[in-house]
Amino acid sequence: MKFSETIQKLDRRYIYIIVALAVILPLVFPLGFQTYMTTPVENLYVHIDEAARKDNKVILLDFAQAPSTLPELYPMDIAILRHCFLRDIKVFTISYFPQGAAIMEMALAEVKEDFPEIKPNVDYCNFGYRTWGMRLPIILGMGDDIAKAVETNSEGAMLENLPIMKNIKNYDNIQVIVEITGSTAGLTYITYARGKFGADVGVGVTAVSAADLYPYLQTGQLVGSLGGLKGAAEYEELVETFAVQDIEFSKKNARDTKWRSNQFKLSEVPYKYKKARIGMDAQAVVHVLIILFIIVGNIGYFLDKRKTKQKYVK
Amino acid sequence: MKRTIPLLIVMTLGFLFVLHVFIPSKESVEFFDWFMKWIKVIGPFAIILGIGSLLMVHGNKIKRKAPNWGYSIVTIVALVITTLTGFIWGIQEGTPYMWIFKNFNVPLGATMFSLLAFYIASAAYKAFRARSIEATVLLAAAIIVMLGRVSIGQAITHWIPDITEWILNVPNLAAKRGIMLGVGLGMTATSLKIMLGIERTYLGGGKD
Amino acid sequence: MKIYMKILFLLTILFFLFSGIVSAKLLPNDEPVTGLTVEDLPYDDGGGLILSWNPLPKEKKIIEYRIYRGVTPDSLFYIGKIPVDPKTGIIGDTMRYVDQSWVFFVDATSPAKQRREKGQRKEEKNAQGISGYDVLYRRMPRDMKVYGPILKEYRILTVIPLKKYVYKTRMREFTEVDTTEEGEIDTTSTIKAGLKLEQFRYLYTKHIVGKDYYYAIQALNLTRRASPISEIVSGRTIDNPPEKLKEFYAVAYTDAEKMHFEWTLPTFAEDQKQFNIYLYDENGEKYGIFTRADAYPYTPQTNAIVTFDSIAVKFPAFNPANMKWYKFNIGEIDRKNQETLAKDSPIPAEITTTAILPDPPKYFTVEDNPNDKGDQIRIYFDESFLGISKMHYNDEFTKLNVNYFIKDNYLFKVRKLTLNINGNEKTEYVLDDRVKFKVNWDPNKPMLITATFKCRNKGEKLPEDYSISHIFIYDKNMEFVRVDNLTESELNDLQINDPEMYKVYIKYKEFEKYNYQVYKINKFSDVYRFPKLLSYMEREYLDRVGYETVEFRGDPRFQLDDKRLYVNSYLGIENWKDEYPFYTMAIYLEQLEKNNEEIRDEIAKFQKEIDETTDEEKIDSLNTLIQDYTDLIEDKPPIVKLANQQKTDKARMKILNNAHCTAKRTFNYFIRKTDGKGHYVDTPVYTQPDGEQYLFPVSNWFNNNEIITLIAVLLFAILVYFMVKLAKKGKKLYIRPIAGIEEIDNALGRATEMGRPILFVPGLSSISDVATLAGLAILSKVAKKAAEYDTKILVPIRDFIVLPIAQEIVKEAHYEAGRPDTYDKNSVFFITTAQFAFVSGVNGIMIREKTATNFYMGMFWAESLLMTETGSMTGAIQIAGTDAITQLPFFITTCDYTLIGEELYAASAYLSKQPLILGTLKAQDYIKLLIVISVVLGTLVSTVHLTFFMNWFPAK
Repeated sequence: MKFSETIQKLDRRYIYIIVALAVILPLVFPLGFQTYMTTPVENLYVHIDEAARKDNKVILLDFAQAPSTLPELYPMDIAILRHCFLRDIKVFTISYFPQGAAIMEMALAEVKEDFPEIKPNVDYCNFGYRTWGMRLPIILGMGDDIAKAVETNSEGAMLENLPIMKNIKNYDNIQVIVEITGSTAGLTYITYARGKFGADVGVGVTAVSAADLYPYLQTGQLVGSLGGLKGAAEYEELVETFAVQDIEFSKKNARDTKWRSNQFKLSEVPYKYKKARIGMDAQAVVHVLIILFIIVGNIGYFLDKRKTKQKYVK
Repeated sequence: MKRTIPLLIVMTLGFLFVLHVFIPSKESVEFFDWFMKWIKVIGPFAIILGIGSLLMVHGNKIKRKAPNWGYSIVTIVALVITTLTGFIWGIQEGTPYMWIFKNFNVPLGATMFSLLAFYIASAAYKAFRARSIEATVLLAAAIIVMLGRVSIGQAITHWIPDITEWILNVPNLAAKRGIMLGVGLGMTATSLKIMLGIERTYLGGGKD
Repeated sequence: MKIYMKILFLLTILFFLFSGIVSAKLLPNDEPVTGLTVEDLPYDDGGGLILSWNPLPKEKKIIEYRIYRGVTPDSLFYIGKIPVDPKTGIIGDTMRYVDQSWVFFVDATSPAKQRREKGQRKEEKNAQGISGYDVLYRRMPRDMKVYGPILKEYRILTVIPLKKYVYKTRMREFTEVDTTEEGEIDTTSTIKAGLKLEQFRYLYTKHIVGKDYYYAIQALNLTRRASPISEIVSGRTIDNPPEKLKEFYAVAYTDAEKMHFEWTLPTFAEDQKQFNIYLYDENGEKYGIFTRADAYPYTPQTNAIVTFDSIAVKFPAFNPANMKWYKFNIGEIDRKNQETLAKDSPIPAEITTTAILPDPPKYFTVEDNPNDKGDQIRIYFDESFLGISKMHYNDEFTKLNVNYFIKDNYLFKVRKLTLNINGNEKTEYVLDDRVKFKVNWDPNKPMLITATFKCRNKGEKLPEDYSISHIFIYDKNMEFVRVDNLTESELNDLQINDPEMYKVYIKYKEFEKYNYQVYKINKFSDVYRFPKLLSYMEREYLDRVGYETVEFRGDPRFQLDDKRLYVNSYLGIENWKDEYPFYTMAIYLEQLEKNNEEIRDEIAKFQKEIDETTDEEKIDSLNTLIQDYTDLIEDKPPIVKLANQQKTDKARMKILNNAHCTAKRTFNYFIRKTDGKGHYVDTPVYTQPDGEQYLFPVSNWFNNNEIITLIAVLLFAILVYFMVKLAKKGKKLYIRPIAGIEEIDNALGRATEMGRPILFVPGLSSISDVATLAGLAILSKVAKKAAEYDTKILVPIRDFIVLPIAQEIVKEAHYEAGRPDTYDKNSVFFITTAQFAFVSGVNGIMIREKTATNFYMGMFWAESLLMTETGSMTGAIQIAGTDAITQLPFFITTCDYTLIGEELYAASAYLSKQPLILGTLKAQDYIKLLIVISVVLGTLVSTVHLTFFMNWFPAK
């Protein structure tokens, strides 16, 4: 069989094996590709970071997730929580999905392991699960009084009496609301929390929905966003370079890959804090692989076509 | 008669629902809500039809010992076991039904879904050909967008992510909207045809 | 053994193996929950208890804690659960459950019979030696024998659908014989309205103060095995005095001779009945200067205006000049008359003049909201507002990107916006929320952005000089632009370097402080309700005035003989003199005489009170009441007269209900602009042009926003009519050929030649999806051709309802082709509703049956490529058609022909060639042309800043 024919008639199973290897190998042996920053991610980081060590500002995280979106969204949960705990930023967490509530507990427990000094209800407060029907009343009610709208935390304690609520009243005290979601991103918050009370809204979404965010980012209705695993990887990297080293954010440094690579060694970072970056390695390899497939497939096609033409000429 | 009555129902309700769009009054909204409740009721009855069809097809296969009839046994056994566990122990967290759902249904579904990655690769290799100028443009765009979505694109030149964004926001969005306009119009036309009784294949094809 | 028998065997083995592993890994759930305590909830009305207990260890894999409650320790009913994720467990060391306020008790969906909780064994006992088997029951059953006697152990609130209450009740007289203290026998009889439990929406319970309630907890693990029951613990509630308030402000306006008080609400505001404001004079002597009952129900007040004159009445030595010596406090009083003073020590008043107050909202208007179902009232005020949501410079500081947002209202709908930054002006004709500026200023200095507006002209004109200004500064550390938010040092610099801009900044900060409170009142209340707080940016508010759908009634009586619950049989009707209080009307005609008797008793009681008192004010109010009641029994109010004249209860109820709902949904409004600290100004109550203050929302019969849609639909219908007529006359209508459709014949021929079946997937969506209908229309044509060629057709179905339709279509097709004998009902079959399981089914068919031609027509999602790629592997000819944009690329690359979007809908027209269908297709083309023209025209005219065309179309 000629080369061109071999290419054209290659058994699909070889392709499947190559793809499988391309996914698995980078996950096992991280390649450490550079992460490049994009503006929406930097903006979200800056907005969250601004609440650092402020007594009267909190971040509200809405976990609108289901297990099916875990690979893409969980690294975001972890990275944002880690950022907040590192920089003493107060966090509220809430979920309107039963499965989301479980993910929320899991993420909190996982990050808290490394921060023994962070105390529940003092440095963060888990509002727990609320039914979907309560979503709008709570979102609207928080514009007036968070403690009244949410009432209790996940353990059933009245919010009013918790130390974290000391200087917190309504959206004025919420630095930014971040909805991490597998579906339509942030629309309810944009319409009600932002539209009615001027709260800042950011989102973390799966790569598929990322394209739908452009209009909101362009009009400034979203202060920033994390799109898919890539967004999560960028956020992880920002937390690693600035929050972990306790350095103030600077765009110049963020964009300077050389400067960043001197800040830390990826191999020393705990696995849970670099999941997205490792995942991006696999993604990059697979993308390149598919591009190669397209090119090789087309080379075969052209060679074949030329041959057929030649046949006719003869 | 067999056709006229259903057709009459379709036409009357069709026009009522069109009117509902233009009439916001309380009566109109109440009628709509009331009707939606009935639609919910119809659904569960149709399940009987579905399961009946499934049992008949596979029952026939087993009876006739048609090729691969054993798979039909697998199907029916799975159906019976899952249904029974649900009826006996309920479907809450922690019941056998949930266990089956979590440990069979979800992983099997996820497996099928993850096959997509492999199929995309093989489709890219086998079917994505620069057959014409249009196809070549599509190919080039695909390569740029794929590069732009990962760090390698940025590493080559910062233009790649920028062009990616442009491709997605301008030509891609324009084409999408064009198709959507056509689709919207096509839907309206089809609905109109159905309402006016011009299109009646859904009643079982043919003439009256 | 065949391969599938092996699979089945393997699956069974795996099933048992895994279930064995799962249960083996679990620790036995044999310990009860410990440390259960039940405590009173502080500051409430005696309705709440808090349960707390220690969660079981994480290793026990608990998935939920179930809570049981009862009025005796021997039967506890399930009331709720706390779900727990078994992977993470509970982070803290105590868990809490708050059993407060109105809690669901029983309704029509409750179980029929009282049932023991499952999963408990008799031998499993808790520390008290009690087995859950003996005491725990599932939810409260709807069996009156069980729940009836328990009703009196709680405060009960019933929720009744209004229609049921109005038309479905049964009257019943209850006679009670009491012996009074003096030994006289006193018979009281009351008439009540009875309904069956199914007719109620819900029954709710709340604790009774001082009564013992018993609780127990049970934990379920991953296999739903229940732990032994916890200790059974009792608790009783206390009606606590209200909580202290966080904030209380007193402001004296010397020029207007009045005081403003403002405060925040306590957590349990529901229990609040009244508040008193106290003045403490120089010697610390306390005088009550103001008292007011709160509007009922649950609409407590947060502010009050008290004039100097009225203070002088209560405190004769009052002298405004001594204001600085006086101190103030507020006392909240709950329904049990317990009073809490808001502040530990009284506070002095801020002494000032009304000059510091902002202007009240201008152009305040209240009107019926158009184009709705009659449940909204539109309120708007003040001029348009422009906010800045984000600003950022590019990396070179040559461009500034400004994202803005506009808040406007019906009166001043912004059509054009002009922004000015440091003398650079940009006008926005199309308000797309963003503007770009070329930077010719120093980005490090504070900057001024000013917006002026051109508005739609609706009666009022926006003042020429009206503008909104923001100050912004570039933050070097954070590398972004801050708007209206300067730091202390930046502010100082600004004051020194640019006093003009400093003034603008201070003015804006002042403006930002004041929010709007919308107040409303209907005819059943004497105090304004405060339904909505609007931020300083808001300019319009749609107040929802929902239709009345339910009635609330308390404490029902149960009757086992007719299985009914009896509640109070009176309905509220507005006072005919537009005064408060309203009347309560008996709902039954038979009840009338008795009712009048009761009213006469009441009048006699008032008369007695008048004789005993000397308080002028009280005598006045009692006299008014007597007058109102006399009017009522003399049938003076027209509605009462009309209702009493009716012959049947039904007719009477119709009138009463109408009057009741109308009065409840009629409101008047005013707006208070406040900073929350006692500085506020009010608009007068809005008076409509006809002099009426109350407004009732109107249900509209046409939605004006849909006019363009209506025109388009009509145009389309007319075009269809003409085109169909043309086609019928025999005029040849040209339709662009579509390759995919023309290939259908060849594809079928190929299958016939090869002697293999064809596969047709009519999408994965339901019948309500138009794409599915289009797919089915194509199926009918394909099936007919297949029947003619005598080729087998396989149609796998995912939706139950699509199944019989597709079966019918294929059957008809065979009849039409004259081949009824070849029709096999099982060729159209259901697989499963699970998306990916369906795909694996379809793929299996392709591989096993070696289908020669595959059709995919309809709606598809992520599964599309999985099917088409398998099809291309088996070497089938594939023709696809879908309107799912995201799946089109996959179809185009892997299928031989693809119908894109509307081509799918057009396909049936091509195949049938009927003039009717061809006509609609042609009409569709012309409408599309019209849309294209509109798009091009719209783009062109908006480019030259003419936005009228764009504004014709409603924004979605």
